[in-house]
Amino acid sequence: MNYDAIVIGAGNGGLVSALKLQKEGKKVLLLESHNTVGGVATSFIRGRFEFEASLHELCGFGNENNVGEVYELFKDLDILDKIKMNEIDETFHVITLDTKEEYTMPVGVSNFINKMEEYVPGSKESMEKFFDLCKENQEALNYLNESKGNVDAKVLKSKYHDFMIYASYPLEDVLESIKMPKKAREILSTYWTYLGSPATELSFVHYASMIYSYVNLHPVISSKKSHELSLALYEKFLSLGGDAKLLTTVNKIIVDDNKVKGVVTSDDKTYYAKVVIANVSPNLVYGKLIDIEDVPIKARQLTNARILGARGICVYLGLNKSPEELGLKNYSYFIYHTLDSKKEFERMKKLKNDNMVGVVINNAVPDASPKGTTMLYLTGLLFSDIFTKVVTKDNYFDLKDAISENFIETFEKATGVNIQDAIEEIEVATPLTFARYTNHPDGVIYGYLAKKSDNLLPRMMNQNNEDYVEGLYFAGGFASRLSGYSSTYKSGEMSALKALAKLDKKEVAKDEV
Amino acid sequence: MKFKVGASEKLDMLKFKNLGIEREKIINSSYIDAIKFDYKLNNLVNEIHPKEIKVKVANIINENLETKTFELKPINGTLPNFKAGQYIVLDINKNNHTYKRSYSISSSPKNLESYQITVKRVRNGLVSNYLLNDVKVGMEFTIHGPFGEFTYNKFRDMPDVLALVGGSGITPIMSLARAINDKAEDFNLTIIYGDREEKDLIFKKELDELASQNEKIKVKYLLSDEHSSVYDTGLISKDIISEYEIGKYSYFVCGPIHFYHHLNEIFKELDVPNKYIRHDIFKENEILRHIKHELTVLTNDEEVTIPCYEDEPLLQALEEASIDAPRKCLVGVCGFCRSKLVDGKIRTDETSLREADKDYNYIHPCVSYPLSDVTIKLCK
Repeated sequence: MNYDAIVIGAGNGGLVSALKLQKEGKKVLLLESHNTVGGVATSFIRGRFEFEASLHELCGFGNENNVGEVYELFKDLDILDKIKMNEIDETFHVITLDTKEEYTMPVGVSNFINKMEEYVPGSKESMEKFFDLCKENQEALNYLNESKGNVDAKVLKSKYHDFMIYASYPLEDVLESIKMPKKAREILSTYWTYLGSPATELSFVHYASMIYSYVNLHPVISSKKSHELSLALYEKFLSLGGDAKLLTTVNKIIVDDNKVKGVVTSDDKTYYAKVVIANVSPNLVYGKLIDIEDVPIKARQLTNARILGARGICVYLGLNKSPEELGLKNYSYFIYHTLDSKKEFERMKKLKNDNMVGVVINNAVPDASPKGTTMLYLTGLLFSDIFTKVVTKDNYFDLKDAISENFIETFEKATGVNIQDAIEEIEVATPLTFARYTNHPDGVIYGYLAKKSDNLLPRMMNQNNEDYVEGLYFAGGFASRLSGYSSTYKSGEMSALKALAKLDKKEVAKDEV
Repeated sequence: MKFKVGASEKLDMLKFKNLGIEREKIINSSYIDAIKFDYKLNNLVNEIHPKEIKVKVANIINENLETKTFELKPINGTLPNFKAGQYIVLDINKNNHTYKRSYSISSSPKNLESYQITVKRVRNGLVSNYLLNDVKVGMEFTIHGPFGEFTYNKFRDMPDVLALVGGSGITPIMSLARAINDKAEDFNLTIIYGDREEKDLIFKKELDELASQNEKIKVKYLLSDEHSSVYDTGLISKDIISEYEIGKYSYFVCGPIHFYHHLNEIFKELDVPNKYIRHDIFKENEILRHIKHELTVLTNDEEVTIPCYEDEPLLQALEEASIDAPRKCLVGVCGFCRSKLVDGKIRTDETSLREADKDYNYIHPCVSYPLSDVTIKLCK
């Protein structure tokens, strides 16, 4: 069968790519190896609880009066009437185990600045500066996005002067340069785990764009778990006549003369298309799906140069008491030993690390679970392959128990809340679970480590130069927008736009930054 | 606002302009070895959760007149570890049909040389009769799994478990008892095992032995259709459950669906919180096929119309028509058969559908029965 485009993997990126292309009148085939769509943007049921698999809070959404880029994207894709979002009235809440600190940060720029001044007197001026930079940062990124590679250096220099100055620096350096007090820097950097690198490595541009979108636009969460979002995208795709095959794995991408030709699936069928969008890892594409002799040398070099990012561990708890009865007032519980992200990053290379983010979804969506119950997710990250080194076929169940114990005990210690006696359902996802459901190398959930030349800006600047096989584009957490919900949605749009340009035989202009 | 981060504004600008060039340089100086998708963890997924396992019947044990245990050994490699209480799906090829049935593993999780499944004859049951009558040592099968959440979890469940068993529901409980005895699990297990008559009881000898040797295991029998001086008579009742202090025990209920409903009524009367109740059910309703409808099945590639009946789950109609629909648990729990109801009316048993799935008319055909002509779309 012939298609204009084939999308491999119905994760956030793949779903958006498929829908965007179908909406533009292309003939699209979406292939997914599981029996439902979304990748980790899904939910699963245990007893009377429907657990969210991965979404903590969506940034970049906002609402009709304060529109974020994800809102705009969903509007363009015409799914806004199919989803219901709930605003979360808290940016983040952090507790430290060793230094015994606790901070809760509100939404809204001035609220945020005032609260920080309360916690760290004398921080106000630098915080105001920070948000000014955030605003310019957002505008500059919008300009870069809209210019689709045709960047005018003069415009950049005149309109986004500061952006050009801080753009190549990590978060910590920029915060120091605007003389933000150390404590304020530490508190502000709480979200660093969401992006997967410590403040000393994390690009300022990336962090600023995320935190600004949370503080300025309100974080949101869908009513019926991320499954609601994935399904809205998927059902729209089907309603426009898109073809989808679930429970179908791609075994091969056919490449000839450095041009993509099509795919071969697990049921031994061949589908042809000029464009293939891979919502899977480049490691899988270049290491298994494309014949070894058809993989360009540059693709090998790029893939070899990269470091795998964070692995995830999640403990999903269904509790038989309400958040009020338990005493869980906050939406999020970032739990670290200290606020020193560099130190914590090192700690999180060890298996027995107990840094985590706890989310009480009922505090934003009260009926997310039955009345009188609470759903609590404890998510930890591993910044090494230690789990892989330790796990065996025979110790896997014991390892899961040890992880649960570690997380539950630390959460109780940090919050003073007894959750053990209220556990009605419990499920644990390890890197092996994520490897099973995504086939990402080593079960990583954040794509490649965002570090130095693999940070957001260098990836975006070079994105048009790194499509080494003609007609093959990547979407998802391994692609140029990095990981996270809003980023992977946008990556799907970007790869669809590239595909459209290719299918409509327009040349994609080279990046001139 | 003018400011700089590094040594000078000029250097900062230069650094910015060089971001892409730097990246390019790093790529060009990286090594050119071929990429190999060969990761220990991804390979381990195939060992722990293989898509299918080829097995051979290594032994058949007659448990009683109507029940046999089949010992399944892997033809190649090793079997995945499992938690006592989990089930496997067995593919049975018969008369050009592939039937898939789920069976709890009855053997100990410490024994990974083989899995044992124990099958009781169901009156007019196509598959159970085939297994009991025709399957011989040496025959080969494909199995899937192990799957399932009817397992003990020390964070969730109480240190004392009261297993309430109806008939062949003893099979996963047997695995739990064996697991305790083999130190694969650590909790106190009291089994109340109800069946019709003494001759129907399965594993009685071993259960009695385990109970006499291991202080963590206790067993009591209850016969509904036979009066005897040795056994208690009747059904598992409110009085019997009340003998065990509420709040101290987790209840593991395993038996046919009507048995589960009966116990659920008792739990409600006794105000037992959900937290303490876990269940594993099976269905053994006889299908009479009186009222007929048409079932149209859409897949990506084709459209087929087949007969279906009001008392027959849609999934079974698909199976009868040799349509290979995804399926695992068959009791509405695992969600693997998830399909879309395109047209028509159905009745459905209690099942675990995601909230958003309901908005788009997804159903679980394994527990859905037609009330009119029906069209469904499979996910393949």
